[in-house]
Amino acid sequence: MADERNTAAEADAEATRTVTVGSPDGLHLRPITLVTRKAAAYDCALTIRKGDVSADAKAMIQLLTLAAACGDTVTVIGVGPDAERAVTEIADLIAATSAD
Amino acid sequence: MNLLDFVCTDAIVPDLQPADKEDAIAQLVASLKQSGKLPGDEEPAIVAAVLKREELGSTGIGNGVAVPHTKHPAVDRLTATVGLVHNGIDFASLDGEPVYIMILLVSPPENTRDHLRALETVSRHLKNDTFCNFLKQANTAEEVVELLREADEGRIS
Repeated sequence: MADERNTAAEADAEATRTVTVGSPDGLHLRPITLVTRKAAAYDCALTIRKGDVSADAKAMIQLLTLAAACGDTVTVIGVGPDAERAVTEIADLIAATSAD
Repeated sequence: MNLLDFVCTDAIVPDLQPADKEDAIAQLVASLKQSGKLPGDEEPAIVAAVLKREELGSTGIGNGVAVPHTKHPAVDRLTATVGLVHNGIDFASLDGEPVYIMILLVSPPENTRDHLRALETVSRHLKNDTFCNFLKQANTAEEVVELLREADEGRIS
């Protein structure tokens, strides 16, 4: 019973973090590759939003549409198992001054 | 930014038949050279730079699309070309799928903003399955140019 409650709570878990892009060249292909690889390791849904544009963090082609430059602010949103940890790790990657 | 702002229409290769990924990149750079977009003897250096970039991680971005690229002082403005591989090619893309549409970009080293905007423009249009499917079926450079124009004008939904 307790296990079932924990599983249900995990599935509903939500986390959000807003960060500033640290890479001098912005979120170009290399940092995006790192973000996508990291996101793919998690089962939770992960979205990155810049202004009105939202992108699935597991899809490189969508992340590129953010055109997030150094200094831009983006929001990382996770819903599902391990959302808190996934959002923290991805936000840290985006905030890193060099994502190489 | 529009696709036709930076795609060199004279360098489009609508039927690439490469031996492998490296050969595909070399053929696209050669096409840019033949169209007069790469001055001097920089073609081998640009091919090498694009391949070196691929070693850092594939530029296959999903949806059967790859955007091999480099920054190089041989160009004073962003330039690009489109290559179609009708049989698909292994590009070591993250999604494991073959690549059918290649957009090769060469940009000046100092213009990071234009480079990012070009990647945004390419991905915004090519995440659209309808546009991708039309492009994959194009057989001539003229058909590719017309599709790029339709995409730029928002006529493909």
